[in-house]
Amino acid sequence: MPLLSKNLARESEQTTVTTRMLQDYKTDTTTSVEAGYSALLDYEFNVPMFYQLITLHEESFSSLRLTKTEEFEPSSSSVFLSSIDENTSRLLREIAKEHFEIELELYLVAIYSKKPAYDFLLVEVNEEAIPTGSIEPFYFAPTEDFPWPIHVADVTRDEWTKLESNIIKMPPGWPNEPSLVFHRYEVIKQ
Amino acid sequence: MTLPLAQAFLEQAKTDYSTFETIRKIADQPPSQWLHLLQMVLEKTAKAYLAAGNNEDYETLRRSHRAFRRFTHTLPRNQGVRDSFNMNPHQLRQHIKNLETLIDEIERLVPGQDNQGVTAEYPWPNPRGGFYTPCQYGYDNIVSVLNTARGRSLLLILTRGLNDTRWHIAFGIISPH
Repeated sequence: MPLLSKNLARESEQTTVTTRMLQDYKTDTTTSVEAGYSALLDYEFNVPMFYQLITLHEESFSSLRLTKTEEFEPSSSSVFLSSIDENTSRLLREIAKEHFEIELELYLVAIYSKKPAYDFLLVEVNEEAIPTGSIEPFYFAPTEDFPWPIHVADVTRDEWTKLESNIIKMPPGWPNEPSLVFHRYEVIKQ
Repeated sequence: MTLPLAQAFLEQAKTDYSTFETIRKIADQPPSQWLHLLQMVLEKTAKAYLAAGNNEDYETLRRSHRAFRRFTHTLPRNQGVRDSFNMNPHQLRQHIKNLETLIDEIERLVPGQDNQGVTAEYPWPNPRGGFYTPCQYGYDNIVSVLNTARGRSLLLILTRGLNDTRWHIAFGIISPH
């Protein structure tokens, strides 16, 4: 995920914003923000102004559509940035905690978020998983406790290593990098 | 008439299960005939659930194996399933764990490169010479257990998977609306 400049947050605080320019520090490219989209950046960046942006739009999850400056129009080359807000992250941690409590041989839960939808894939590294050599998730419909769909796929440690090394591929439409990773030792206090 | 992939797998599994029940009641039918069907019901039911939520395409599902064991492994983590059994997740987890050996033995009846031994469909070689044929084989390790509480538990879970609307909603095979 590109690291965006603080200018994005500062300028987007104006609710009447139509189109704004912003800088991607990592790739050093300038982009424009389309009207009507709100930005929600991963809290791991630890930039307080990005949190302000979340509050401003009062959305628990959203996406920011970016287009290259030379195009000025939405196009197929647009990229989507999305991440998980604090409340959803807390709920996902609760789900992971429950899964750790149920599955005693589960030691890591990696959560991938689909862009731009509200959709989460939980890759659960479990000593008791049946090796398949692929990621084959089961869909869990939204519940009262968690209003978004989740997909749950058990993998072995070996498969997890291969997934991290990109030897095993993520299912189509899912990013290669998880948005959140929970370890048993940090979620379940000894 | 066409159906979404998950529902298509599910409808075929329901019909296979009905045939399984019919043949199982016929006294002179060897176990291979209905075990073959039972193995297919497990496979198609699990693949129905894997297909839900547009998780898997048709070709990926065709290659998928031991799917029912993986499906049952996820059940305790699903709130809708727990509610349908009125069990807490730890009880359900233990319940499922008690069935794993039986599920494994049924799923391993599939003939193929990974299985050079017992199947419910094709003959397999005896290392000392000759071949076994399914219709003359006893499958005592499975048949004896299917007639116990453990076997009935497996069939209960299977029929819930086939017919319980709450499960279908919880796993996205059908929409709640």
